[in-house]
Formats: sequence, C-alpha cells, structure tokens
Amino acid sequence: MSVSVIIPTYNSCLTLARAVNSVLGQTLLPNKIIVVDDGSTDDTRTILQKMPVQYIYQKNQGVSAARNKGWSNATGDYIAFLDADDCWLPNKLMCQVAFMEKHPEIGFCYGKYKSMEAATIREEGFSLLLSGILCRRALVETVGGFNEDLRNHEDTDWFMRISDKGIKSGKIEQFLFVKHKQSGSLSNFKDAVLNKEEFLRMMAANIKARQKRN
Amino acid sequence: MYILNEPTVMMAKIDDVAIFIQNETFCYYSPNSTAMPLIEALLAGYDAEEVRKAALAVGYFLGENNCAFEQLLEQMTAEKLIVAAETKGKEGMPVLPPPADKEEPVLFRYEDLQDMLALDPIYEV
Repeated sequence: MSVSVIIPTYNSCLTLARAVNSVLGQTLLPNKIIVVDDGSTDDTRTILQKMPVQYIYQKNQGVSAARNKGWSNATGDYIAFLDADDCWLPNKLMCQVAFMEKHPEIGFCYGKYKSMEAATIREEGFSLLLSGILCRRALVETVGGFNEDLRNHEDTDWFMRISDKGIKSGKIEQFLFVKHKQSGSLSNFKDAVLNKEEFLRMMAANIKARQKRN
Repeated sequence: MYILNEPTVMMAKIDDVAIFIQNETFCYYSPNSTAMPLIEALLAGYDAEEVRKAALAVGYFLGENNCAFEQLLEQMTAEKLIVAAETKGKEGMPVLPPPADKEEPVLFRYEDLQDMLALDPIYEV
C-alpha cells in the first residue's frame, strides 16, 4: 500500500510550506509528495529546496494541467490531492487509507473540513473539495484526469465523470483538513456566482456526453 | 401560466442542452429534445392547454394516451422547477418547431451531485 500526494501550486509561497508540513506531519506518511509548480513567479522554488518533495515546474497552464502532471508522476496505490492554501489534519491519511483498505468497493473517500479565516472557524462540515479526498489510482486511470479546458469547476466535472462510471464513494465522520480563506478574498458564494455560466456549461457538456452514450 | 421557480431553480440552455438545477434538493434535470420546446413555450407564458394543443397540431408524440405532457407538467411542479403565476400569460397557441424525434417528452432527473452541491459551500450557485 502506497500513497502519492499531489500539490498543485501557483504563486502560493506564503502558504505552501504550511501545506507541505501538514503532509510531513501525517501519522501515516505518504511515499511521495509531488509539488507541481504551475509557473509561479514568487519564491516557490526556493521554499521547496529543503523539503523532501518531488518538484515539477511547468509553464502556467492552470490547476487541472498541474494536477494531471502530478498524477502522471504518481506511483502510489492511492492518490491524494492538496491545494497549496489548505492543510491536512495529522490523522487524515491514516484514517482514509484504513477506510479504503476496509472498503475495497469504493473508489474514493472524503470527510469533514473546517474553514478558517485568520484564527476563526467560519464553517465546518463534510466536503468533497479535492484537498479532502483520497482515491484509488485505478479510479484516476478509469475516469481520466481533470479537464484542462476548464479554469473553474474542474473538480465538479471530474466528480460527475466518476459518478457516471458508477463509482461509489465513502464518507468518513472525522475532520480531515482545514481550508484557509484569505482575508479580503471573494467568498466562495460570490466566486461560484461569477463562474455560474462556466459551471452550467460544464454540467451541460457532461449531460450531453451521457446522452450520446445512452 | 407557469414561471421558473427562481431563485431556487437555475436554468440555462447551452448549445442544444438545457439544464435545471434545483438548489433546495440539489437535483439537476435535463429535458429531451421533445420536452424542451414545450417547456420553452410554457416559460414564455403560454397556457399549458394551448401548448399541449400546439404540440399535437404539429405532430409531437405525447405518449400512448396523450398524457405525457401532463406528466411532464406534474413532474416540474412537484419538483418545484416551475410555479403557477397569477399574472395573465400570452394569448393563443405557441408556434412550436417540428418535433425533433418521435419520443415522448421526458425530463431526466439526476441525483448524483446531491452530496457535492449540498455539502460544499463552494457550490452554492
């Protein structure tokens, strides 16, 4: 049993070390941590120099391409994703790997998160955000990677394709990761509304693909 | 007449695919090519009975007992995609395009994103 962790990053040098350290602090360590630098112009490379990670640089192509690049370099039986501005809680991998080993019928699992702004918890609950999931490598091979044409909602598109294949998920009743909201940044709600058309377009494309197959 | 149940329901037609997202149940829906012109006529303000008559007049297949349109209407109101409006709608029969195929009107319902749409604040669209 082995785990590869994929961290896409773009100009996130202020939070990247926290993210990587949260992986290094896991009670079950992964076999490989792959950081895909999506063309950062900040100190990302310098920060990672002393960290035990596989560093991959690509010119800026978007987060989907970065995750796909990470996946193509992953070797683990399991794959986990972590966004550079999020961080994991220490038992995240151990809980999820134990759960997946116990439930071979499921393709991925997810759990609870806390959303923090400064030191305050803003929200908590279950989350299907990619920072909180662990999936089998076979799932990624079956469904394919992320749609590189999408700049937003690429994760929803991916989950729709997973669902379309009839792959089941498992929900873990434990807090697994922390999502850090940047002060002054757009709220998730506003962000989603701004990207509504792209969201609907992505969903319509998935429906069309299903209709063609059926 | 019926109107879209906004803001609970979000609807868009992209290329030739229409999609409804119900933000209370987090189900989403897509009509087949027979149902879409009927729904568009309804949402344009035409009376349901006039839409039904217009559909039959141009050769839409509305099921063995001609009740598929009523079933579509029932489904859309039961799922709170559309609601009856007090205001007076358009007079007369709508002009519908010829039927795209011989299928009866169907609104497909999808539940696979319920967890994601319901649980993740980022998907509060």
